[in-house]
Amino acid sequence: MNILILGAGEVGFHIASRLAAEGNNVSVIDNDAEHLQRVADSMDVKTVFGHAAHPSVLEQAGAADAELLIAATTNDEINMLACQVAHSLFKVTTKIARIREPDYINAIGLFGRDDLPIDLMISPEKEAANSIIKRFQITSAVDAQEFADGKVQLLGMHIPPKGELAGVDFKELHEVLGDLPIYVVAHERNQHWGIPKSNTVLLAGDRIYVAVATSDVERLLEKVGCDTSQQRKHGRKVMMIGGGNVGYLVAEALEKMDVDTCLFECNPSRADWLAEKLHHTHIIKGDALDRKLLEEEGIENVDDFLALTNDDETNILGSMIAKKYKVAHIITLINRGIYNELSHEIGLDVTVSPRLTTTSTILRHIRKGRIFGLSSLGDGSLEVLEAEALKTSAILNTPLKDLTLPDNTIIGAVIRQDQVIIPNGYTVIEAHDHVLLVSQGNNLKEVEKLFEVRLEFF
Amino acid sequence: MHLKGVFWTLGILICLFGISMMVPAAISWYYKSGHSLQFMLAGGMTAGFGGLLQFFGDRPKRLSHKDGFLIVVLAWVTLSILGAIPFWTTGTCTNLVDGLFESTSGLTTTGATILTDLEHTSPAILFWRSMQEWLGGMGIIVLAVAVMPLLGVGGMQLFRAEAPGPVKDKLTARVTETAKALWYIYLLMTIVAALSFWVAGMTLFDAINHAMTTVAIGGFSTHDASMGYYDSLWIRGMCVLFMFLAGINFTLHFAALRKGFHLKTYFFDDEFRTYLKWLSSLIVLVGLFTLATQKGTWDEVIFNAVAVATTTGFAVSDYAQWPPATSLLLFVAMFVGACAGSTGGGMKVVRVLLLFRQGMREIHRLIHPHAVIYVKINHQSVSPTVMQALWGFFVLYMVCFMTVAILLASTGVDILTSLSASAACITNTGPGFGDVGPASTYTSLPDLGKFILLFAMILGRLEIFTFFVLLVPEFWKR
Repeated sequence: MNILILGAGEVGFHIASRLAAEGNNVSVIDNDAEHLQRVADSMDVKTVFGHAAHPSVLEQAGAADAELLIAATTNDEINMLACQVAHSLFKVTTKIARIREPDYINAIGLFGRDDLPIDLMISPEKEAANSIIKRFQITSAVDAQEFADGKVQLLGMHIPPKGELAGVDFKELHEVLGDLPIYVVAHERNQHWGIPKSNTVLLAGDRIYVAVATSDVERLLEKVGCDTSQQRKHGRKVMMIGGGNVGYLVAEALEKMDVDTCLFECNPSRADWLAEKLHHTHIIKGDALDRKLLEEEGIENVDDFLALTNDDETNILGSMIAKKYKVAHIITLINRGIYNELSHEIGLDVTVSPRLTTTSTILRHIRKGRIFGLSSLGDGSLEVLEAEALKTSAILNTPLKDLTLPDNTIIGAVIRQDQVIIPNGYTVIEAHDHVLLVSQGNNLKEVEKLFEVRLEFF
Repeated sequence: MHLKGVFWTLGILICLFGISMMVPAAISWYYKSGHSLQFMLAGGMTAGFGGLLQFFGDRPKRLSHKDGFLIVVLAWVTLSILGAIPFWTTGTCTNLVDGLFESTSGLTTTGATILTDLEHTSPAILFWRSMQEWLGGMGIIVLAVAVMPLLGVGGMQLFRAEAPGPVKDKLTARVTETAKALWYIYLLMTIVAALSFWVAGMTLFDAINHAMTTVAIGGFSTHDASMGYYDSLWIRGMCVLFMFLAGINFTLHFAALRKGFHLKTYFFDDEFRTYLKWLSSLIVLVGLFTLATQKGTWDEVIFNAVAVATTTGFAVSDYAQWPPATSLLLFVAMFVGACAGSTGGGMKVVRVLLLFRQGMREIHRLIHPHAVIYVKINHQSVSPTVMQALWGFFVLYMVCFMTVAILLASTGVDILTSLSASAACITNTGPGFGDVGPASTYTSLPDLGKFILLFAMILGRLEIFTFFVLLVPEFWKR
């Protein structure tokens, strides 16, 4: 497939590398030679230097043969215009644009085939804010990903030292948890992620991902002993640092919940702007790393700490300071890939990366068809796939224990119409079930074959 | 300053006012009460005077904001004087000050009266009182801007100087259209009120009179017992409803009507919600005290509380006889008044709300010294300039209230009467407590006292600043 990517910033770079690695013909356009060089050096794509919306530049990049255009420059107007140009002059079928400005996103009737021809709008800040809010709602867990329209969750959690799960092997898990149906789909020890074997014993400090029906999440957290008591408390006290776009969106969402938020912003005019726009959030003008200021606002009594500035280092330092004050739940926004990999060493519990969330949203859209969801777990070596089992599929009508799946692949959940089934050995998959699979490494292609699913693009 | 332009504009206003006197003349002719000639003469004199002013003035090309202040203040003063002519010539008021008092009280929608034995007063005079309130309610200058496109040039300057409230918005692109829209709503409300009263059992004449004084939040009645004359829950209920409606910002009525009577529009407004909460808590509090001492009934409580809180000044019973706590509550209610942009008086709910929020803000600031906090209304921050103007207004309002009360006391009036008369006049409510309570009139006050109250009423109606700005020497400098 021929794909055009406009803008070689963080998002553009990451998507280009993912798509190129999957064997697509990717062209990247940017007007910054250095960025282009970085792209050209690290992956096998064509690079074109120039203004991303100019017809001549697009033509040079091969827009006439492109089936997909992803406009991910930092400028909304250029992205929109490029989509229009690609639509009118080059008949590019699918156009995805990154749009930051909420005013554009909320304008109903602006986008459409006869209007602005954009098929999918992506706002990295909004995506990041959404995933922060999702994690905020389940702060005891390390990570939370939703599948099947939110009916199933993959919860990533630490095994607490004195909790009920420490020292339990997977066969005994059900006895510990009673009738609560869950399925452990991934396990991490010493930085190594893998698909759990039935004889694995959980140790304190390990991390696991658990497939669980969304309705059971609270019960699970209670059982595992992830202090839900604190989380349940009304009027949770939240401290946020950074009132940029992400910070603003999160604060706005928090205002609708029963929480008491205070938001630090060091830029005085931005602080004024925030105070104007937000109505229940306390806006504090000042340096987020100023100890006196943090104590003044009572960081000792804070339940949640969200570090959401534009600067990774500030976020990391802020989170560590919060940790020193024994804040129970800390969410850190990380932009650069390297920090993401280091997050565990640094001691960050929950990190959110706008780049990763944006990329996975775009990929999910591109892969629409029989595969509904796709994302990665842990450090990215495990892939999660939500797919529909077709009538012709080989996995139908056989109990799972007798089914031969590709290596290191497990089925975490089956969604039959509106019902969530956490599978055991006797579960049988029926046609049109949605299946949530977790697979390690490069087995993805094999798994897809299993479902007789081609990567259908359009 | 463009004096000739000021005179010309003033001339138009006065002419208009003179012509309006023909209505009571016609009423008098219809009821054969024998005052037609007096009204025709007064009207002729007024219109003539207006014509003269116009003859010596010049049509202004543009009006500055200073001209606006001057025109508005001069208009209110001269119209109050000219409006008194019928009271003098018909012999209703034998005293110069009494006539002035009645006329000013009408125009400013105060509703304080020195007339007794209204049942035997000629219908023309009664109608003229009500009509003066009705003209003053929405603002005679707003009316002039609405019907005289010529005034469009400086219309906004005039509009700003007369309309109540801390922030004045135009509803439409052109000020003439705004003024028209306001008057249409006002007229519509008056007609509906008159029909409702009529259907509920008043005579047509009384219904029209009461509709005009209710919607204007004035409070003149055609009976000595005020609304207490009507022992009908329907009439009282209708009256409460229309006082309540007229106490709402007309901008809100306009917005709601434009969306096809959209009720949500009201509830989105902070001021309206506060107005609603304030009225209901006032009713409950006053009700508790009153019922506990068995001095009044629920319907009396509701009627009187709404009448005082909207600064109408009707009464169905003598609430001055209720326990002292209720008197104080009602006293405070006068000051809070109705919503900005309504026909009501007082300091306006929105001002009190903003001052209160400012106070809360200072408390928050003590807890969070580095926090950025704005005073907001309808989710929008209020600019510091507006807040400062608000504080200035509050202080001047209180100073005026106290000064008037002290001056009144110095004429030999007792404390309760002078305090409450000052409050009732400056907030344009009408009845106070003591000698000027709902069961009595202002007749007993000395002439000097009445004269002082004339100023209080105009001061209150023009919301202090418009009047005071003329007293500053800088205003008169070129």
